[in-house]
Amino acid sequence: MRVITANLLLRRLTETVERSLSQQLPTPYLRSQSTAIVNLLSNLAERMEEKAELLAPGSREMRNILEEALEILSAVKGAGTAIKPIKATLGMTSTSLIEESAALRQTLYHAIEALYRWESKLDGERLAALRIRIRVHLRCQLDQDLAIYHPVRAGKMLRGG
Amino acid sequence: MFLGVTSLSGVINQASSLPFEQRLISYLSTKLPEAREISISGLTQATEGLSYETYLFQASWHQAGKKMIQGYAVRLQPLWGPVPPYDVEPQFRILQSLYGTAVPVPRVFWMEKDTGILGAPFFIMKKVEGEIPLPWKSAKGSYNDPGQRELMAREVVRVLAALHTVDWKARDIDFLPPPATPTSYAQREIKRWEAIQKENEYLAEPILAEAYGWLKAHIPRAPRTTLVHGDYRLGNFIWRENRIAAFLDWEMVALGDPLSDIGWMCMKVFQGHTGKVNGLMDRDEFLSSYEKLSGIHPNPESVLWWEVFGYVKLMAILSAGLRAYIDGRRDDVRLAIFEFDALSHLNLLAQTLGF
Repeated sequence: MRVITANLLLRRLTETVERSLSQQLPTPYLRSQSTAIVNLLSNLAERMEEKAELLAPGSREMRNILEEALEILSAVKGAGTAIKPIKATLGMTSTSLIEESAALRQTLYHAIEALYRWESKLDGERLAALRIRIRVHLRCQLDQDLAIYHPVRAGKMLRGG
Repeated sequence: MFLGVTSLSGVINQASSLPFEQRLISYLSTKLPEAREISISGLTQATEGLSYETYLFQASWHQAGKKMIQGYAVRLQPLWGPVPPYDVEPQFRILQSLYGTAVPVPRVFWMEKDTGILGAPFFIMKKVEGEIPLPWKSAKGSYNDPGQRELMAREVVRVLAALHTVDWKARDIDFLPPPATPTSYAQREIKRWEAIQKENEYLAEPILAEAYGWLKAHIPRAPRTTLVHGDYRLGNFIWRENRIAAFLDWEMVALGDPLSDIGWMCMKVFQGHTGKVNGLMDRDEFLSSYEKLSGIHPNPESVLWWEVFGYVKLMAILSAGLRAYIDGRRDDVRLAIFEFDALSHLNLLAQTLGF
């Protein structure tokens, strides 16, 4: 649900299971299990789209932040290259809430960079207020992500299961 | 019978139709011309580490009427992975340079850049016996013994201070460029890892842009130029008989700011749930023991800067690993997990930055 979309991740996972893992499995039963996993993974993306409305409030706030950033940056001569992708993202129409959220996050990254880059030429008060708003949004987004995803069991992976 | 190994990056299987074991035997026979009837046993791929591929094995042979046995570790350079750009040479040469100093490292034997031998550049070193202590490895592991942990804490500081006080100018370390000014190393590191982050935009989280903005506005001055490990922490050393027998994973070694290793060590991500530096010691205790042994003052603002930097570096590493997986250059599914693993790092980064 983040910058990298579930579709992309699932496509690669199914490829890996088919290309690298299935061929190494020693019995027909285990190979049938891996085929079943591939089928399940292939169908999961659609299920995820059903949950995508969770992203809507975050996307709305990112749009608001980007509009404010666009306004502040528009006052700076030479900031055209920074403004262009913000305008493009704000003007996009996507049928997928997941794709839209990913694009907004990516553009917000570039907008924050531009705000730092042009800092000395921007309206200090508006910039300070926007920075606070950005940080509050990022904290909320992080808390939401942390509530959705499960922690990674790195230790178990690294010791080989 | 051992039939061969599956390389997670696929490099081994692309090199030749010969099993990996056979290729190793052929290579050893060119390096040990007096050896007869070389055989290999116990060939296994280490699961720790997601960058270089490490294979452990035991070689036996006859030489001048005697049976010889030697444990080896071979480190293969991946084509793609979490810590680009890849070059096996600095790692090999630093191990050569440090061998025999107060910084314990494995003895290295041979390095090859010819990809026709094993499928990728590699080096071979002596297998160091012992344990890599980690909290999750085993309840009976040395990390879970309080007495051993205390000894480990002292050793970790002793070896770090030894590394940072190596007289690098007196050793053959011309392959590592020294920073030109006290801020050059920090600037170079920012440039390097931000470029990696940008090349691999899959984890282009907006928090990172905030962090890079803050880092660039507060570049610290290095107290001096020293050798730095780049990934100095629990999990990267072998423990045997109450001491560090060897420090491993030198792929990010550089001449730079010693406080970069201190900040890296202090990152909460390496604390587990203990609240202690590397799960071993209190932060104040760590910093004061380090200062006493090294003579280097760990300025708190600089340490904080390197901690924040540590998270952006970690995120760049995750991005590069994830990219290698998503683009189909590596088939190690553990790299896909980086997508979710990144969340806890971002959370700690935000906390360290104060939001």
